[in-house]
Amino acid sequence: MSTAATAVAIPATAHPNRVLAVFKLHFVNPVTVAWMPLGIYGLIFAMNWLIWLIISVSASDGGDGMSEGTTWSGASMFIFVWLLVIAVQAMNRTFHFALGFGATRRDYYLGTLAALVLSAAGWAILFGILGMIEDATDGWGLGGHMFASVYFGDDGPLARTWYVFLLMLFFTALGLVAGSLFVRWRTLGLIAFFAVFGLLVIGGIAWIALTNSWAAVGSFFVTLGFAGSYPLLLVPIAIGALLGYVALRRATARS
Amino acid sequence: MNAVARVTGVTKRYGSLNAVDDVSFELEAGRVYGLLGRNGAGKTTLMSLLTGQDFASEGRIEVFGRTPVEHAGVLDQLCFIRESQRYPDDFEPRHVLRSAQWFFPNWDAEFAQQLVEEFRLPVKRKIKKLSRGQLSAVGVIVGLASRAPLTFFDEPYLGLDASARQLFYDRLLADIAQRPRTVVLSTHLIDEVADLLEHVLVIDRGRLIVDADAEELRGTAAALVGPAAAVDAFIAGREVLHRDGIGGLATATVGRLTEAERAEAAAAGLELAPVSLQQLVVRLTGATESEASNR
Repeated sequence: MSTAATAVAIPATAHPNRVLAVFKLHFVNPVTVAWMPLGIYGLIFAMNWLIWLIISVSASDGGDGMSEGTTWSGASMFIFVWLLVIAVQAMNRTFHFALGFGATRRDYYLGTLAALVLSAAGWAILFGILGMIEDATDGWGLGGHMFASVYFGDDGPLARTWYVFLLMLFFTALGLVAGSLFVRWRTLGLIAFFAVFGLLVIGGIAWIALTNSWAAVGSFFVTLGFAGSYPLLLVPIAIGALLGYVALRRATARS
Repeated sequence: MNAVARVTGVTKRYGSLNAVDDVSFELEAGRVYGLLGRNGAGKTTLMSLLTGQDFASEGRIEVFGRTPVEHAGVLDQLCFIRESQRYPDDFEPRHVLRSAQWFFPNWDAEFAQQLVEEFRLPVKRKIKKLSRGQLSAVGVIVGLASRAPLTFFDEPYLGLDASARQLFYDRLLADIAQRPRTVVLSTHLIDEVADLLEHVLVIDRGRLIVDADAEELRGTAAALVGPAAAVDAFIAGREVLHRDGIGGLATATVGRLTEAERAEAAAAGLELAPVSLQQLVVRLTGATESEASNR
């Protein structure tokens, strides 16, 4: 009995580009993806600026040493962690929905990846521009540092933007893996992920410490410099992107 | 045979539970199917499998001649908004409708807009804040306006008021008359959709127990009403789906009766009443008395 031949074939319609559809889906509500994080960054910046102001007014030397001190500012670090959260949330928010709209897991993943990379690029460019303003205004008029901190070297604004972008991609990749694991195995996946990630970090530190290689590690990065070290992040980024897909490929829409 | 979908020996296991158990059937082009059954019978799981959202443990599923899993060409011919569809937390109905046009090749934005007005759906309210009926309306509007060649409606009536239900019924009939497509309505509110259905699939505890033309199915059972003694005499030796009695009167639901049997029943002083689709499904999927007492 060969009934397969009589089955109705796929109707001949133009097939929409689902990768692009998923990509656009992530930006359909700009409140979540743009206005809210911008508002939070703005608030953090304003609070930092106020603190600089207080120091500069009350310090006996008029805040002359502030430029030196705030260059170690960790305020900007918030943005990176936020990107991790954004990646996890983006997947948790949209995966079931996109599947309901008939996206394949593959198209969903590619569209999401593209959206997250573009987000990271956008934030990195903004970060770079703000860093330039920071340099030009001598630390927002107060010698403060938030976007041109010591972590991104002094290879100029373009290089700084590139480093920031790579670091953002790294956090995004972490979020992508965590998000995929969450969609696939819910909380259990997330806990397992952070446990394994934590163990890897501790294991790495232990390995360096036990083999007494801190000096070697230090000189390795010093030799590479910022320009050579930051691109190394592309390795874990690529691994993360692959792992995320492996986890998501068999995820279902069961809620 | 003009099958748009073919399910062969499909089983879906969750741990030790067979949510769908060795199910086989076909969906023919241009018909309206009712996928009926009790809560947890496996209706939504079956639709998830047909739309590639879940993976079958065993068996074969073909939709438009291909497996739907990860097949973009097949999936964009389908629309399945589940009853418990999760929407992005921050979405409002307008975001859902705006994104729908990017996913469904036959999406009709004008029709969607018309439906939004008719269903009085607030498009600028967070999905989370919508009432159950409004949430159902979102799914119904997407299902209708996507004009997918194979559309699944999962409990479309849930929470909808009477006017909205009528509206859904009217719009669906009018639209599929103009643009024929295959529709699967899953529901346990059977009376509400009974008139829409051309073909009925009843699933109970994961197993497909009815796969029949709706017209045929309506004739498969008859209810006999009359004095208890006469009823009992008539049903002796027959397959009885249900028997009820009050005082000296009894009602019994039995299988299909021939003309001769009908005449025989009338001669015995019994009245013949039609059995609605809902009653029939209740009889077929209801817990038997022994099961009820075991709970």
